[in-house]
Amino acid sequence: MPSTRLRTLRGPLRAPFRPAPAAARVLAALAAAALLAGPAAAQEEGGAARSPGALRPFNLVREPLGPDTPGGTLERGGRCRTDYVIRARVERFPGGEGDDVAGPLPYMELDGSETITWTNASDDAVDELWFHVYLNAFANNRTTHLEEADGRLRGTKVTEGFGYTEIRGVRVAGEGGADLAPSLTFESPDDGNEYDRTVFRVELPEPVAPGATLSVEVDWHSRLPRVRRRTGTKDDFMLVAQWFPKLGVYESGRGWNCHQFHAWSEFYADFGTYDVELDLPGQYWSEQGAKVFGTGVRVNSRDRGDRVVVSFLAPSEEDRARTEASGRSPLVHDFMWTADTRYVSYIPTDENDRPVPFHFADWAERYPDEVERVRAALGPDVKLDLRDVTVEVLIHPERLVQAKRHYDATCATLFFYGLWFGEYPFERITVVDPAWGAGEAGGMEYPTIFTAGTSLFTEPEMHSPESVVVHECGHQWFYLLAANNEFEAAWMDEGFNSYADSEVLHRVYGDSRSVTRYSRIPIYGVQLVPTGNARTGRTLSLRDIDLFSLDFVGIHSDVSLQPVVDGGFVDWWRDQPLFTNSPEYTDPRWGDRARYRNVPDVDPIDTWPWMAAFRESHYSNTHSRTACVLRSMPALIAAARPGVDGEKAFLRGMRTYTELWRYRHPYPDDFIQAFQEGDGVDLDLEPYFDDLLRNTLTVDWYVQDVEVARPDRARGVFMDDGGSFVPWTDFIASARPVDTEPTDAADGGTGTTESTDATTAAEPRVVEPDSRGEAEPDPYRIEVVLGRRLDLALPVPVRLTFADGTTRELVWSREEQLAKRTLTLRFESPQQLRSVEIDPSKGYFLDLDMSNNQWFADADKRVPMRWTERVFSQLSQQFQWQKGIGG
Amino acid sequence: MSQPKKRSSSPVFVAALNAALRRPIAWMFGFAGVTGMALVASLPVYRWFADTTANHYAPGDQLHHLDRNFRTDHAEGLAQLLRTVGTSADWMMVLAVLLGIFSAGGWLRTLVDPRTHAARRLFFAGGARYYWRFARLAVLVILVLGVLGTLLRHPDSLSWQNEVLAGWPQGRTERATSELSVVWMDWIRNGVHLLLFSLVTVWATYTRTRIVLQNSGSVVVSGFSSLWLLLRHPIATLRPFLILTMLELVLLQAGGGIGRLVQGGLESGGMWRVTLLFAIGGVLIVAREIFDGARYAASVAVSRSFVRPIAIDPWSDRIGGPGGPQYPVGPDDDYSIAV
Repeated sequence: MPSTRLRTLRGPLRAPFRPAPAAARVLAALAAAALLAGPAAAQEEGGAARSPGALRPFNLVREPLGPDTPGGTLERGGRCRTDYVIRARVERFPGGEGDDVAGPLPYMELDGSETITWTNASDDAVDELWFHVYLNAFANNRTTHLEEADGRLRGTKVTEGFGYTEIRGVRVAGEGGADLAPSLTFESPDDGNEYDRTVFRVELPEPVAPGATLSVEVDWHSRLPRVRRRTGTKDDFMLVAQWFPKLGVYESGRGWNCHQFHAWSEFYADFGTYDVELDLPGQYWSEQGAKVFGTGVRVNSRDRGDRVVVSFLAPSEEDRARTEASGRSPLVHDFMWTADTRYVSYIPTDENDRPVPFHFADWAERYPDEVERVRAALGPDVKLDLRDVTVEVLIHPERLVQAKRHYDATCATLFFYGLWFGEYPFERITVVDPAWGAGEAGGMEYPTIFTAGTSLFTEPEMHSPESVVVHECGHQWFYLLAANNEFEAAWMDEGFNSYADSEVLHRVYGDSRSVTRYSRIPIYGVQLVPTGNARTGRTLSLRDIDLFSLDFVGIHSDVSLQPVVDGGFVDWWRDQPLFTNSPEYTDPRWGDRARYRNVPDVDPIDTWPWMAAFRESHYSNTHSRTACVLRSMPALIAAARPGVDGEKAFLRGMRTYTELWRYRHPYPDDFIQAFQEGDGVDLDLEPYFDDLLRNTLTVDWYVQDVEVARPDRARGVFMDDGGSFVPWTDFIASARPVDTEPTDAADGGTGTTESTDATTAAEPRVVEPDSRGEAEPDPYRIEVVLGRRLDLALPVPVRLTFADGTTRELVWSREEQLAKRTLTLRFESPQQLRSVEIDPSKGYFLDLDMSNNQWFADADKRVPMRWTERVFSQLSQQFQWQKGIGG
Repeated sequence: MSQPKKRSSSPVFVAALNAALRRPIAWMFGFAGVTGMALVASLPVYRWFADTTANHYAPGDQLHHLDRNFRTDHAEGLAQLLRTVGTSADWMMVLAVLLGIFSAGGWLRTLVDPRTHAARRLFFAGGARYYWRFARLAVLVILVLGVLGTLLRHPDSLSWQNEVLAGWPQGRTERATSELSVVWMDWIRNGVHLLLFSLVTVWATYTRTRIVLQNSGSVVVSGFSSLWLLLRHPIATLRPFLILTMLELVLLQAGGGIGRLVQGGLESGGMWRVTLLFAIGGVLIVAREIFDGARYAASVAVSRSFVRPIAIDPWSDRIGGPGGPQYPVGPDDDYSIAV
């Protein structure tokens, strides 16, 4: 295949792009209008002299969506369809120590050709095509991807095993189709990085009219990288993703959405179909057939001696023929394939050796309460049954014992996500366990196939690999079905999925148990006290004794003596973990809060990933903080609208969103709008979502003070209503009525829910009526002061519990909190106050410090003794062992 | 005057355990030292938890385990507390080694001298008498263990082992073709480390015993002598140690299992369960001390079979009035003073 010399633009490096302010966006729109008025001028600007940094509005997405963005929330892009027919041949080459690009390991090269059929469903006539070639992110260490990752991918510094894609030809399909290669230019729309070759564009000889279809043929040659992040090879293992030139997404009114491959963001592509044929070396054939798997279903595989040829259809013929209740048919928006000579395919079979698919009824039987809960939330008419799905686990022989666990976790996800967010529509789903040394391919989602990642010696209580299986499988809903733009709103898939995966883990596996590993063997529990701290500590505890430096004689060495080495059998004997370890459990739902709390307020959630202040801020926002926001929504709805079941409303809102945006590309406003339409609650959530998603506000509620006093017994005489002085007992019996309790709220639930008015709540007198006139001790005078730090104001329930077990509940409203940062409750009660709890059901995962949300009259004296004992046991065993070194 | 020594019919390890058990001063000393240090180090934990949990958590909360929210909300305070305790513990590790040096002299002195009624005096006298010799030996032990640890676990050494022994290019584990091969490599390495570590401690025990039995002033010479003894009679010298260690292992695992059972019911139990955990910890320390002593007793018994003992100080235990004739008394002498 002749190579075409490609024209590239090498514009000056520019500062990283920042979103323009609204005024600038308006100006840009005006400029765009002017350009559109003169198409000839625009065409001219599209020529070779154009700088990649030049303003080309409506042709290239450069700004976050905002109210000024044309197109309207529900009418933005993602309606186009792209179908791919791909043919590829893979050859294996030996590496060598002298090969600076591949390194010493064998590597693979791929030659491919594809026919892309693009249907322009936008309102615009489109005169150019933009493509991703993401393998080029691994071409050198100056690409945007590697630069943003500081040259390290998933912990490994990339010094070899580079990969790339060269475009050998681009032309309009068909006899005499125009050659588009001469117009090909590589673009760096996000940062102007001249070394980044992950995006290119070609100009079309004539625009594609709205509704019209265009077919383009592309030929390319790739060297597959050593797998360092998501894609590549290692020995015979191949996990090949982002491997073919892939069209960007044309969005009505916004132009081509085709970002460079960033380190912190993922993907965005049109829905469509894939017809793929792969030609691989013969080693990928075994007695069981081809050891090649991919998106969709494998429809054909042939052994041709030294070659293996396999074909895939995604979605399968059967899936394509299905029409869902919404009138839509399943589609996918990417294709990944994997091959390994060591793969073992695990599909459970019944006594007749027939595959046992995921079957809804089996799981509904296991979790009937959940089915009823969802039915109660969504209504009796909603169809909850889910289709059977064939679950296949590709696993390595040494981990075969974990295959069933992968299978079960996948089935659990199919059940719960399907129940909550709608059916998984495809006939098959495949779980991939990456090979040893290729773990960097793990933990990634692709349509109908995903990678997990595990290690030897794990138990289900450790949630490994269950947590990664559930998470990546969950992306089939939040990435594949509701296919948000992962470049611009990564939180809409990662965050939503993080929320849901923890809910599944909690329901199916409970709390995870921490372990300490000795020679890779896990022992439940953790050693509380870290010994061997810092350099001095490591020396004192004999872990690492630095030898004197020989630098002065020119010998550079970091050699040290390590009499006591961590991580082996010796320190197992030293620690005696069975006795000295402390149990540690983690509710997966609260794990999200822990990470959110690390970086709670640096960037808004709704931030483009590579524009985040730093990586941890992006990850916290995208995964954990978003999950915390979602998980707090039921509490918010219930507190803002007492009597409403927040959980059910939340479920309705999420279900509406996922159904409305199935096989479509939602943006944040789409989610907000769909959720509000669906939750069935008369509550304007817009201000809340604004605070939570587009702001950096956080909150910490706290019980500031609780005073309980019982004044001296009343002595002397007291003037009654008649103006006479009478003894206290007569006074209390005949005097004005005591303030009755505030009217119960309409929910009829907890019984004593008060109004939320702080001024009235400030002085309720709650003496029980039957106590009047009796010679009982005077009631307790109770004062409770609640406070709110930071600037997020959300309605929050408060519960007071008395000695006799009765409770009183009230809501501290958003308005009250905005008006005043504290709330004082003063009242009298014949019962001693036992506890005060803000957010008693712990529904607000956004509270930065939950340790100060409660006050209890009784302290548990066992707790400090308990943890002193744990530390004592650990240290005494270690000291005893260390004593043995001396004698 | 001297009677032939009666050979005990019981196995060495039984006799050793018996001998160690009958010297409460020795194991109580070790127990008190170890637990005293642990108690001092863990006192700040009590204060911190008492302040942190007081009135902020419902009774029973955080009793069995510290939940995720507690660990999150108090992440900084808890980390600082435990780091501080850990740093104190690091310093106490040195004290523990010094305590071991003293304790070894005491144990051996009481075991070599059968006068259990004078055990306390003998223990402290022995601890003081051999202190510097055993301290030098401890330095030697640390050096040998350090070299072993470095050879086996230093990153450069790991890389070399991986490349030469396992054949992984550049010694990188990721170049292995399976996780299991990496695990086996790890286990073999750690197993060898455990074996060598144990042998060094056994060798050190025999060396200490020889120093005491022969009143040797040279740690190095005694070290080589005891190494020769180990090489010449590996079964006789190592067998009692192996049996004692196995017994200790069983006991510790049983203690650990009981401890976990007790912890499992913490939330429903009263303070007694916490107290019981303290007690189990204490009992395990006592048991480990007794096993340490038993190893010395076994070492003395085995060494006496092969090493000609020299009286520790023939004149230190003597009879005879002041100014008059003095008669040295050996351990096997039976004597009485007629008035």
